[in-house]
Amino acid sequence: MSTGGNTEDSLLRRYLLGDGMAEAEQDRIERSYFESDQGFDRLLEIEDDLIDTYIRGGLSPGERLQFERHFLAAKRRRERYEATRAIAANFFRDRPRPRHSLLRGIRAFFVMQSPAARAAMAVLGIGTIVALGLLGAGYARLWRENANTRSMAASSRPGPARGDLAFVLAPGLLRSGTGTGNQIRVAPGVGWLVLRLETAASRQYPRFAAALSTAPGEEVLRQDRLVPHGDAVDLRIPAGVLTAGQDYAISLAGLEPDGTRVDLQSYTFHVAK
Amino acid sequence: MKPEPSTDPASVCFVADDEYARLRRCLIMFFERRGCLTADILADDCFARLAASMKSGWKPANLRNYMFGIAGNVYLEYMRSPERSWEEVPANMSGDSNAPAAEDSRLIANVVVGRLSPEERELLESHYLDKVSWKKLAGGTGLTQEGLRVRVMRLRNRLLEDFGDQLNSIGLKRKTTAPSVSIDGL
Repeated sequence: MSTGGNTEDSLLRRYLLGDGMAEAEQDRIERSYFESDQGFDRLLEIEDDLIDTYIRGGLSPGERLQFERHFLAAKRRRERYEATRAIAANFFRDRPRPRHSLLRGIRAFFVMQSPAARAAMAVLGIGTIVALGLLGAGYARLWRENANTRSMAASSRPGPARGDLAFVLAPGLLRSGTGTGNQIRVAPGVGWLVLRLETAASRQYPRFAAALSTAPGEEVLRQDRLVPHGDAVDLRIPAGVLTAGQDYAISLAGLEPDGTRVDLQSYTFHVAK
Repeated sequence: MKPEPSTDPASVCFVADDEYARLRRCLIMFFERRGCLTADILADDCFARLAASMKSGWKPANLRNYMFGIAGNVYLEYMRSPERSWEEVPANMSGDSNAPAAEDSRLIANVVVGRLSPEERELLESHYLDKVSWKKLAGGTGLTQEGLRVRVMRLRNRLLEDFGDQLNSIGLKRKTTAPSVSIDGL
């Protein structure tokens, strides 16, 4: 896209966010979308992009404030936002992948071959299994070394980025942050929340999985590649997925090196209005 | 003064369905920019004024320009209206995000997202979770970064359309329809 297009998009974005602009500029934008179908379509695209970027935590603090105070004041836009957010929530949680029938496919292929070809493939298969066994042993050693390195890196990782809001959660209780009791108040303009989940099992597992659900049990978000950070596990979530006035629960599980999942603690909190 | 929405099709102007819907959306956008919480009612008031002007047989040379002018007048009158302050507070700000509606939204979203192909789902997952950069994603699909953005936008629009259709089909959302069907001579 050309620079001119980006400048115009930026103006349209400001227009939608209710940003102050010269009367002549506003008049030009409005005449443009009244008269041109293309102009109006572009404005609607920018509107959807704004909603999308807000949900993904990509707006600057100032833009978030304008989005929440001006943009969402219109009922039509709130409805559009609610629909987009409901759709986006599906992508913030992992879904079970469809099972591949690879083994069945290999078996069918094997059965269809001549006896001589089957014998040759059997010899080849045994050789492959032996080679894979040797490779696996080497991989296991490398994995252990890698896990140690990641653990060291995690413990020296800096805290939440600027603009993030961090809370420390102990099982069943919110211990610090700007909220009181187990309440979290998300100030306008906050893009991401870092929920530090305290757990005594932080050193027992190389990886952790956490699932965020609403009180009625609807899963909002799931992450399964979390590494421990000291005595806690950090769960970073976009503020856009949380609804004010809603109760939430987080369930934490430890993941063994072989992928076995061990359920650990649960954490609850309320997002204050 | 609170404008009365026009409900009688015969009382409203002769504008084709598509053009009516488009103009109404432009008008709503115009009033939303100015922070009018009753933007849809003000848009209907613009059409009521157009209909009143056309009763004598007169027709605007350029309908879109004319409606833009009417919108400016309606806004000025709205700002002078002493009843504006209490009109702004109630209906629009409440009742549109209650718990059952949010639950319906979640269920409908599950259905429409469930219709995506695995590739489409993976693309949107990468988009929402920022798993990889646009550059890397584009390299994997053979598309340019701009092409990939357009693809994500189209997928998102398709999901939102499906979402709206589902809402309509279970009667949770009223559809805006044009009050009349002829645009001859405009």
